[in-house]
Amino acid sequence: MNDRMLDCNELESLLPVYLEGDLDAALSRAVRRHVEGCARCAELLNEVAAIVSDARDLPPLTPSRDLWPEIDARIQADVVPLAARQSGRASVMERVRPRWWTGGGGGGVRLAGAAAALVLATAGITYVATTRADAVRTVAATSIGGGSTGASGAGGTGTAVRNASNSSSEQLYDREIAQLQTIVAERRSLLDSTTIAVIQRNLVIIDSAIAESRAALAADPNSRFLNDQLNSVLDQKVELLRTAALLPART
Amino acid sequence: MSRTYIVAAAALIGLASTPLAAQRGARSGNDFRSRIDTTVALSSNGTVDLSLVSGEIIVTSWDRNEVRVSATSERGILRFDTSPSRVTLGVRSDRGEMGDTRYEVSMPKSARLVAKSVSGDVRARGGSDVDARSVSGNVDVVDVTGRATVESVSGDVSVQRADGGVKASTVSGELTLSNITGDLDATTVSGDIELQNVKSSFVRTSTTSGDVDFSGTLDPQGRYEFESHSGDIELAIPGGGATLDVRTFSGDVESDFPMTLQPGSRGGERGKAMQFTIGGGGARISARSFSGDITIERSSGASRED
Repeated sequence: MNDRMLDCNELESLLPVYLEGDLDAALSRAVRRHVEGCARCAELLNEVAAIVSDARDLPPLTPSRDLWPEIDARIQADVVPLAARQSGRASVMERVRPRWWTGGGGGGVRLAGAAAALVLATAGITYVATTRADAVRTVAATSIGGGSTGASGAGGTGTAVRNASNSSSEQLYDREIAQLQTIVAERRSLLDSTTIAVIQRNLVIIDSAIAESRAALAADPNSRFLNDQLNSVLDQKVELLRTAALLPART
Repeated sequence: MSRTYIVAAAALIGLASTPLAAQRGARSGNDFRSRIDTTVALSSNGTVDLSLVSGEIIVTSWDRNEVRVSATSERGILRFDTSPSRVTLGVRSDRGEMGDTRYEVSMPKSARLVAKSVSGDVRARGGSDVDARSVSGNVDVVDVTGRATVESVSGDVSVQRADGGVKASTVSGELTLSNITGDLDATTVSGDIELQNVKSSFVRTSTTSGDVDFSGTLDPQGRYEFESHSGDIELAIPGGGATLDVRTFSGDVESDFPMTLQPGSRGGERGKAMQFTIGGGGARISARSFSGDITIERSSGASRED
């Protein structure tokens, strides 16, 4: 069966294993055969290979705990691109076609490269969030698809404590939230207004939780539990915005 | 070899040729209806991929290596692709009009199902792996022999009897998962999470304001993580052995089991953090809520000596 021809969806699913060199010989040949005849998949292969190469240049990360379940969950989930590497070649809208809505035929091909980028980025966020217990994250909490992403915007407390050593993680959260908000704003007119209202209400709930966590943390800045709580609700905000960014159009 | 059928309501005249029976539906006012009724072969582990915008997806499974499709669309254009390993059914608008679409599909019981809807409900019974999603519709999945991935934004999601684990999420909808074996990951923002009769060595729940209820067995090597920012957490667990890490900032903690504070544990005005063991330890359980209450109950059948 390994000598059969692969379709684009099959290739997309095999690509990570192929790039890791863990695919058996027959399937590896099938992958090569497919990309020789498919320009889109060849481009995808090149993009993901470049991302993998870039990832090798990142500083080594040693998670404090087993991250695989979360990473695996994010691989399974729909993702959006963080990296600006594709800017100039495709608009944000083009890059963030709702993968779970496309019915096959390679509609989500380009997203696979972006997915790898986001997995790397979110893994980095998770690493930072779970290892720097004494750091305080300050990330803007703004209304859906708009407004400031500045640090003082979250929950409106304005009293969040910044930790210089944590600036990189703050920037990651800021950047991810800002990009997701941009995407949602671009797609807003395509989405069902009732669903947008649900998203908006739940963002308010999360922003309230962020504000509560920050206020508690300000009173007890060394609390690992409160740090974890804050990180958790920030992650929930990112996830919700990601969900909103990837919602299929109402028609 | 794959075959593609496009069934446009406005283009159809009478019955199409075998094996696809497609017909122009009854005209009612200005409404047209396109329809597909057909049965095609599919390998036992093939994939059935269904998508629509509004309407309903109903999937059942059977022992045949065939897919039976009965699909109707009020105004949309049905697209039906079939190959020995994959059956794809979708719909697109015709001159901006779509109307409701309804699929009733029977598929091999070991096939993989992908079902996606925007506002329609998704109901599925059977399948090896099931990926069922809706934006505002409800998602109900039953009897999955493999892994179930289920998702809705505002609709409710339920899974009954899944043997290969479940990944489930909603934003505001309720999550109800029962009789689940395998890894379980459940997240919501404001929806409640109810987990009944879970047999898993890895459970993770996360919600912002929803409540979390869990009942199930514990694997001595298992990890169980329950988290809610402002919702309550209720765990009904047997007394077979577990190490619990329970933390809340402003909520209360109650337990049917004696809580013996370990070094580093504390309870006071600014948060409660307790680590304690049941029956000599084993499974690791973490329950965290910022302002919700945490209750640890002894599940029925648990020994009082634990």
